[in-house]
Amino acid sequence: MPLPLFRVVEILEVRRSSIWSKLVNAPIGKQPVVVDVRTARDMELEALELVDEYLEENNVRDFPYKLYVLTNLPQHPRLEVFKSWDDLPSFFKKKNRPLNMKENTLMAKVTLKQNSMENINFSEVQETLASYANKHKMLAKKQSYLDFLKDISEGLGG
Amino acid sequence: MSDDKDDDLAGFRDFIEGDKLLRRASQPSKKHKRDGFEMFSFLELESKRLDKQHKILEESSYLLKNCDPFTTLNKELNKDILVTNIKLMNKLYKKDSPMMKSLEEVFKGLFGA
Repeated sequence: MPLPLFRVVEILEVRRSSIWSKLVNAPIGKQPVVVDVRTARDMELEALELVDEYLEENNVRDFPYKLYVLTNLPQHPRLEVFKSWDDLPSFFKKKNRPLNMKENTLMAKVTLKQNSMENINFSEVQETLASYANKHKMLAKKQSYLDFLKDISEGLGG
Repeated sequence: MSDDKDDDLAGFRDFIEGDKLLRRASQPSKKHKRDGFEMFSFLELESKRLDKQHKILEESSYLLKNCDPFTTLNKELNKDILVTNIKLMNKLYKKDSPMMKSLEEVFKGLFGA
């Protein structure tokens, strides 16, 4: 496994085949990948849509390492967009170099953990978390309704 | 005295200075040392990060799925809402409640005493 440091994929041409071939070769999920669509200029939105389409159609799992997108567009409903390299998480911004013995041992441990992550049924986990979140959002709404009723009741006294 | 010492070192000076240079070159620079430490601590943090993710995704999600307190909490909340609603209604429909007084005034204004 490569070191979990940023791998930049530059989108120079906004064509489905070109973008898809670049993304096929990118280690999405195995390394934090940054797709830079800023070079597409006026076609940034189209480039973003093609990236999103690729992830959706191929059911690409960007886990445990997220896929980040560098773009001038303010937001995207599904992709994590950033304006510049400085805005990206600094944690993965390290200089790549050959590892020494100690670091290699640690990297082997990290690789083992990365592999064990691959065994997790992510869609099932996502479903569980989403259902838990929805249920508890409902509970929060009910609780605020109850607080509202209690407020009125206390206001009436007696 | 110092001239004598200089004379003694003649011929050896290059060797001594060369040795110094060699020693300086073989010592890893502070930057390199710092990089090494940085990479090691990065990998350690990454290992911990993956552990935490694994814990959340496997252990916590298992707990959330199998021991979700939603049903109990929902039942309790529904009961509380019902009880509070009944209490509120009783308070509102009392003869001397602010709502009844206001309604009385409105009806009196509309239909007379």
